[in-house]
Amino acid sequence: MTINDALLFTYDAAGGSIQGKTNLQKKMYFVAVMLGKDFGYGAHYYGPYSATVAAANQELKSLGYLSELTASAGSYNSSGFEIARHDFQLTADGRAVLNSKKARSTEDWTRVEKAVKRLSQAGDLNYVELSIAAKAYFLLKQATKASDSELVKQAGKFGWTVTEDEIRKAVEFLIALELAKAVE
Amino acid sequence: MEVRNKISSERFFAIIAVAESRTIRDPIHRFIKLNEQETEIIDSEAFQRLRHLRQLAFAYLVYPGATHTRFEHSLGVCHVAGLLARKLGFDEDQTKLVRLAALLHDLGHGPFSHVSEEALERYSDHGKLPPKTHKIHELITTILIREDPQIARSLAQNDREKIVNALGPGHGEPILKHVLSGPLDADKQDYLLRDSYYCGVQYGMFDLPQLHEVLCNIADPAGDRTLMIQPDGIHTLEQFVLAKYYITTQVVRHRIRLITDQMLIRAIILGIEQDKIDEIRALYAFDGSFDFIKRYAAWGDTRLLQTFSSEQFEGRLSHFLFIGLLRRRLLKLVFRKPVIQFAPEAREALSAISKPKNADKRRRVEMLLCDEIQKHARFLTTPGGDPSHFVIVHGYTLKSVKEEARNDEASILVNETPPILFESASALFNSINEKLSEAFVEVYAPVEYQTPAERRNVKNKLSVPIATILEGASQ
Repeated sequence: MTINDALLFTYDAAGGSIQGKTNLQKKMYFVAVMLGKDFGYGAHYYGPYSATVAAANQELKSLGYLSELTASAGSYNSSGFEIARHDFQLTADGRAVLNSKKARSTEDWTRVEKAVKRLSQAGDLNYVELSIAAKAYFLLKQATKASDSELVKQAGKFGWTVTEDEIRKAVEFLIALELAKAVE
Repeated sequence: MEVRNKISSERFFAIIAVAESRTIRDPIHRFIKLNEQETEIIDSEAFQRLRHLRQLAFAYLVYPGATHTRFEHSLGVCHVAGLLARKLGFDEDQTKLVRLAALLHDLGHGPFSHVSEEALERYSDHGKLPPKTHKIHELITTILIREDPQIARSLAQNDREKIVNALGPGHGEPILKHVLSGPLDADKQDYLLRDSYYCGVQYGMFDLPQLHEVLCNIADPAGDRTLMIQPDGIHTLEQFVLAKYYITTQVVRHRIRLITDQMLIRAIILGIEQDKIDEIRALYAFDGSFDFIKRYAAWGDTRLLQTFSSEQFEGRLSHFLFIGLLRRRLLKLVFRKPVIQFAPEAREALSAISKPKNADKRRRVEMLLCDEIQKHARFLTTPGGDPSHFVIVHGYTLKSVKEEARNDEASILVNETPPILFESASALFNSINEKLSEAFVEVYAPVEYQTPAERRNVKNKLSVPIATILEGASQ
């Protein structure tokens, strides 16, 4: 499965559109984790980020498969997130290509669909919460085992500002997603 | 005596001035002042080699003045980073860090910079490299900063690590990252002015002092500091973003520059894969070792071009392209079409046709294209009996002017309450259609035309058959 395929499948499984670049990045992060794929994620200012995913999304737009709408989100949150929102939507051409990809790679499509479904079933997180969950998973993966307060401390080392409450909610989400569990 | 004793027992204090051990004349910034540590670094062999890497590769074949190098650009970026640090109120340590990081940011570039990057991607031993979060020249920059003995003498290990981190793609203090790799970074501020000056064009001009005047360093409620512009700086920033767009379309993505870059990449591929020239393979087979970097650092633009266009290699396939670049005997553009004008199912494959993973498909397409082009145009005499090696199909993307106002992760914010995105605050940019980001497919071939009319005639005749071949081959 190419990164372009994974992105198109994710858009489709998410209902044809994704609101916000951060949302897209973090959704794809969890899809990559659940598929066991390396889409080039590393620690960036605002959590795990992949330039490969950003470039592939850009490419899909250039090919006419996605349309982009820039809208003002109208707020300035404490984590320095995007103020304007870039919304992406599958176009008719994108849908045509997607459908032929789905027919050719049914198994891959099903895996992505399941992953996106698991994400939405685990909790209806907004993009800020999803981003904190991505940070928490990223940190947990490095530490193997850590408490809420340790995760907050670790986050600080990456320049990420999160509270214990936010981390707690993020970990609950990871548990619901079956990506983390409580241990002694 | 009493007075003297009194004076000698007193402690005196003075401000420690930054040691300005060298002042360099520069056509863009007039005077660039470097402290002792920075001077030591520029005197290192690793830094001096930047004098042999032209900033704009073969752009001098279009703009004869564009022979400036990454050496003076790096000095300029260091200078601009220092100006930004002062304007944004950085402390002494932050200022030192961004100046050094700016000075060293291009250290790992190879001959013809971005062309080398593509060859390194293709021929490196990826199994021996760290997981892919860097471009390879950035990884080489990191290794040089950490391991080059002369640089290590000038910089403590702790400082080297801080610089590597500041230049890396990862996390860090956002405000420092904005200065080093954001949409308004010191790199762009220098290269737009410098490239314009040396090309003799006005496309990249903007008002640098005024831009700095409208920048501000704002703390968000969580205490993170970020770079923004003042509301009255919108027009200044519009000028800067347009400058970046124009320099990209008119210089970096100039028709001839695209052809020369592709010729050089093809020359390297043919040199390695067909001509079996060990020296070329050795130059790009990066294995992550410092030994490789020592060999790599010995090559500059001129050495690469002169060596492989010399008589020693005459008759080789790669020689035809190397000497063509040396003598400005270039392949010709015979076809160009926006990818979006092809059938939806064909676009993705066409856009990716130049990628190494599609090498076999690309070769088959180029053989078909060669047969077709030969029916309508006169070919130059090429070595090896198979001119299809010199037919190049190339897919690429141009960013929209709006996208020039941001990079992958960061957008420029205007310091309103609450802050708003520059693209929304600017009436000019707000009205630009986001869709104007285009992917193109082009075909270059070793043909010659006697007259402009012949050129137009050949291109017209080739337009439909080439599009048909490309669309058919991409399915």
